[in-house]
Amino acid sequence: MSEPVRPAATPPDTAPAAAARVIRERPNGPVAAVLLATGIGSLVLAILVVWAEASESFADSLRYSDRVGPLSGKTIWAVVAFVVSWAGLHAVLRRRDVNLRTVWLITLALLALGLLGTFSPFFELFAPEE
Amino acid sequence: MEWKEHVAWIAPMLATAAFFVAAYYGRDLIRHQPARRIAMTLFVAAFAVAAIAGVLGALITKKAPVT
Repeated sequence: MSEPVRPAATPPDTAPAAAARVIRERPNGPVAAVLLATGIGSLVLAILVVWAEASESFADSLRYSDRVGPLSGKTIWAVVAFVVSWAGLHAVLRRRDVNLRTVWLITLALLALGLLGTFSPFFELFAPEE
Repeated sequence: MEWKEHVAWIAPMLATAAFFVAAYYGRDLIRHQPARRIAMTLFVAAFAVAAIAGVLGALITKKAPVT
């Protein structure tokens, strides 16, 4: 009388199915970099808006286009800040895992400051007295 | 109301960040709940900011038409 044939046991870590289950996680550092860069770009825009309101000579130095006025310089430098900070932070964080919740909260705070700084009733407080 | 000119420039930065998060994770975005929520919030915020700028611009044009 012959024994029933049993399948050979395979260790779980060598089975192809187990190998397929192993999911390669990508680091979230690049995501953190773009989030922080967005906040930095917004904050730089707000700082330029407030500064241009406070100083007429600074506002004139941002007038790269006569038809657009100082808005041209403010937006160009805000975009430059966004792109440069994104590139720099991406290079630093690309292989790292960071606490995305903390990064998100920092980004929200920077965005809130950006919205506040570009809000007319706020930045007009810094206008020189006539 | 210069806010419409300034705030509108935050929209492309928010939308670019949302695009990057979606492009970085691709189909895996569905498994990364925090990143998915962040991408959705960024994109909705980009639309909201653009809508604020657009509505303010329309209202100002109505009040003081460009001739």
